[in-house]
Amino acid sequence: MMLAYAIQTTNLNFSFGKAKTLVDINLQVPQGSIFGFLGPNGAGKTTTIKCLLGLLHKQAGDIRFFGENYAENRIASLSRIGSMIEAPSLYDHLNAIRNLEITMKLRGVRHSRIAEVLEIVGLTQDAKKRTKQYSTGMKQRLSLAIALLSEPDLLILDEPINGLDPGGIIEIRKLLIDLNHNHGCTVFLSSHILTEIEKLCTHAGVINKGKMLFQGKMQDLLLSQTGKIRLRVESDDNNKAITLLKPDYTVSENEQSLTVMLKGKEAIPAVVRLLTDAGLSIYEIHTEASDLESSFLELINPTDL
Amino acid sequence: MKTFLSDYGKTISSELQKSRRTLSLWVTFLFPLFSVILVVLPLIKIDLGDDNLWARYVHNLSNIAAFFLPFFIIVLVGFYCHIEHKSNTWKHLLVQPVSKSSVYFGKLSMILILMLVSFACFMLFAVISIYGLHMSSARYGFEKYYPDFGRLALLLLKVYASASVIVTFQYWISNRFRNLIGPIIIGISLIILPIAVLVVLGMAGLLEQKDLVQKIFAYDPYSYPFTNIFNFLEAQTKPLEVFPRLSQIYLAISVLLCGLSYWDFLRKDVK
Repeated sequence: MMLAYAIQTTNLNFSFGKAKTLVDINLQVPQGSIFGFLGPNGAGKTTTIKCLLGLLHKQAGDIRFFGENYAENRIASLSRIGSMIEAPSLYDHLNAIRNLEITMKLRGVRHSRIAEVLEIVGLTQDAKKRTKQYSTGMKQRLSLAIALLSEPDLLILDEPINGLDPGGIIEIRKLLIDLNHNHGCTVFLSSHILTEIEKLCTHAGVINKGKMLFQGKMQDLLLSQTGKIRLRVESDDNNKAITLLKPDYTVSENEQSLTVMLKGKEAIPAVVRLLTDAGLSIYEIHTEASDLESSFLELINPTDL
Repeated sequence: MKTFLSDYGKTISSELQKSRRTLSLWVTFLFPLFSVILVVLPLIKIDLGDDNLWARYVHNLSNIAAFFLPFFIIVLVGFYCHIEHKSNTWKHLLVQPVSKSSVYFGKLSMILILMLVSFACFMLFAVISIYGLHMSSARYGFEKYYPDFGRLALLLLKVYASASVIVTFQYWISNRFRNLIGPIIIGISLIILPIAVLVVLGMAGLLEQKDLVQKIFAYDPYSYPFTNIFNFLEAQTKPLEVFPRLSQIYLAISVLLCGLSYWDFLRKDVK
């Protein structure tokens, strides 16, 4: 049986006045994935998230969570979703516990869960401080705690690592991976920080000017979008290997290996054959995808950034 | 219906939580306190003579409550609705698994609860002040006359009941405006609007027509709490009608406004 997507949209359209902000978005976020939603400023990331959650009224299209139509099952769908949209939504005049209690009451969550989520995001010590006194990073973490309160099946996070220090980013990354791996929580997050998306996500979607340019596995984005891959080779005679490869390939030498730039993975067997036919022993060979930044830039016109 | 009631209960409970330490809560207590002080202070040095002091007390407190009530509601509703705008929490609230109707009516109910609390505080502070005056000096004459608390409660109820349009309209615009000042300025402008009309009429030489003046104030919902109680106290109508015909009409209008405001709320995009 095919698993339903955690999020699936069909021809989702939205306009601000006459300007079309989203054009036929067909988003497919597999269950159990960590889906990174990428795009430059004004590409339509937050608008997509707001449409998904019903904060903006879509002009056309269909939205489904876990196979269920959102318009017909709004409350049931929302009870499975934890979200954090743009800047943290906190009541500054209250402390962290009171803020969590508000959502706890709306979601019918047990009170002991508050201590658990505070522990998860590392705010136990500051739980009784008014959030007015929190730093941006602490507010971000508390917002995440609120999103986690009901142990959701799907987390929708808009720029969740904005304002976090490097330590905080690592903690949140670990947390999201743990939620995904050990609790089966699907994570959908938008971010500008490409290195984080690359480290964290299993799947990715790229949007620009309201249009989806790519969606699929992260590896596919890294490998197949540009068609360019890097092949790292270690042999018993790297100098000879370079001499053999240089006429046909771009080769660079590293400490104990060499890197060969290829137009696609189809070129790998030819490289291997060339080296082995020349009597070289290959100790190690593996592909290194070109990094996300170059893949992203190739999809998005750099002038849009 | 069962779902709505369950969601409504959750919303009220969360609204109670977020009303802690807010200006709206302070205003709820300060409005009756301020009104009672305004009535009590002149009584401390007044030459009492043979008057029924407590009848005057009830009369004055009703008048002051009626005069300040529109300002109180404008500020209360403004502050209360501003909690979500200021905290940037509308988007958080509307992605919770409760119906939008429960969010809308839960907030409106919370405002009505705060008004009820202020009404209760009016009575409480009035009782405390009356007994305080009595304890401080025998000249206030509890022996001769006894304060009519029942009448005071009914008069205050009449004042509150005449403010339904102010509550619903302010709730609508306070939800609509992201800033606090906008709804307050609109509300206060609507209070002084009939005075401006009177000035214009005065310049046109039409102020002689007393009926016209009365009608202008009576048909302005923002002046109605005062004109309603003032006309009643002047005429000493008996029995005391908490909901006279015009109050009923205003209540019907407020139900209509509430419906329109709810329709607008459902259509609103959260940006």
